[in-house]
Amino acid sequence: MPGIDEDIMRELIHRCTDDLHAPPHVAAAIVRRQRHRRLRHRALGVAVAGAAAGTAVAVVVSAPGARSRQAPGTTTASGTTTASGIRLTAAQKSLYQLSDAAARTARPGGRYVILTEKQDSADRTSVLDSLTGDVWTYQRGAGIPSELPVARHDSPTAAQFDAMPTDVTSLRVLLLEQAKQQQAQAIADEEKQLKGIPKKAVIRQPKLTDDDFVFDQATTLLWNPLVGPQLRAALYKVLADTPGVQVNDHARDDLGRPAVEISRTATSTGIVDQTFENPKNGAVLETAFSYQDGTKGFDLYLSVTSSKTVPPNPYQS
Amino acid sequence: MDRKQARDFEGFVTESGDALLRMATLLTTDPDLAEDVYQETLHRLARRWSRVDNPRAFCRRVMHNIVIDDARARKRRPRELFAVHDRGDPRSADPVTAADLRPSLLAALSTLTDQQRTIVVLRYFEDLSENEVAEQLGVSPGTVKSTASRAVAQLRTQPGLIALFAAGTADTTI
Repeated sequence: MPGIDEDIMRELIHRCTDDLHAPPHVAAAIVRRQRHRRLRHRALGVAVAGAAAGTAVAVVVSAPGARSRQAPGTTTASGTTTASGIRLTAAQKSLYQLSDAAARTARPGGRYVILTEKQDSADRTSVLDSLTGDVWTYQRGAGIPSELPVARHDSPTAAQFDAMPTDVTSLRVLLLEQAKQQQAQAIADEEKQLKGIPKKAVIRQPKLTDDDFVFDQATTLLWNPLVGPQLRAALYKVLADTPGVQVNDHARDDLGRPAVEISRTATSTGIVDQTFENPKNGAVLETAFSYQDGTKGFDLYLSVTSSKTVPPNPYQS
Repeated sequence: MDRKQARDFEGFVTESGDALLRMATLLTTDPDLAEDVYQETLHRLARRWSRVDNPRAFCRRVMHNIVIDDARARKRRPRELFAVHDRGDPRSADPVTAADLRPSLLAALSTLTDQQRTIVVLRYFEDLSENEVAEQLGVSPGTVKSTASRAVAQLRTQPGLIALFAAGTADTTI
């Protein structure tokens, strides 16, 4: 009597699961993390091979359209050309100082680089293998797994970062190329995944300007601790030449640490991205974002160390 | 995702979260793995929220894909690592029939193929019609019908479920 069997199956399957309840806070946490995850994944994308080294790019520095949220002491990275060359603004000088500080800072010595973070909803420790790009993720927070599966080749290796150009013009070209390629790939992946959805879905991507792309790509590379001193120094110079970048060199991060705050409002989306850097060594202390509707999220970077072996999960006793 | 989209997303999860977690549990037959699948599904949904017209259908498809992918990885690992864990919830109105029966059901479901299990879950948990399941999985309605029939026949012979099917009701003490 298949009909009866099916009824029993239906009743059994519901009865055996009706005491399972989803944790209530997961949705809100996912909303907060959604944008940052996107940024991190983009930063972890494999570097595009064959950088267009030496390609000339005209960086047109224009009035940035500063927003009213600009803090006292904030300056804009826009320069003017004089007969004797580029005259740096105060913001550009701050970024060049940051670049110098980064260039003087040695990279972590061990193979495995350990980055500890505090996010708005969790503590996280990422272990990056500088040789293979494998990433181990340990975390502590309500409703999240304490360890994620090892992400193989999820980050560019230190050698791949070192192979990127460090002159500002070539690096900007590469960042733009990477960002556009990653967006095209993301659209292709989404179209592929949405193919199986019964109802028709529409792909809508925000239209970003080249400067939006470059700022996004540069700031999301900076947090990666496998980025070496020379590339880090060059990334700050790229930011110094990107229209719309604002700098506050007397800022503090959410832990009260003295910081150089670099921020920019995306031209097309109105999303404000901020990154707070340690003025002594150019390391990232915090990244944050905020939407026009008030949605915010942040990541505080607590330490970068290294080890010869993969450390165990620090959140499990 | 703007504020309205975030509210809509959270509303969907509030309304459907329990069902999605239960579906993940049935599809994976592993409560620990189910939590990961549930969260990963929501992350993927959040990333595409503004472009998805039918989020429940999207979640079904994503969960199926994740479980299939994971199953491929699992084939390389020892089977005993995936023993069924019982996690009774003290809020349950009837812990005997829920928490006590679940290990038997999950163990029985784990004997099915991924395709069989997905069809059982979509037919008898999601209450989709044979045509809807067929559309979801890209197979014919006839395949859904025969697969479901064979799967249920196999389940009714599994230890722990024999007595339930023989008694003709799931509301039986074992």
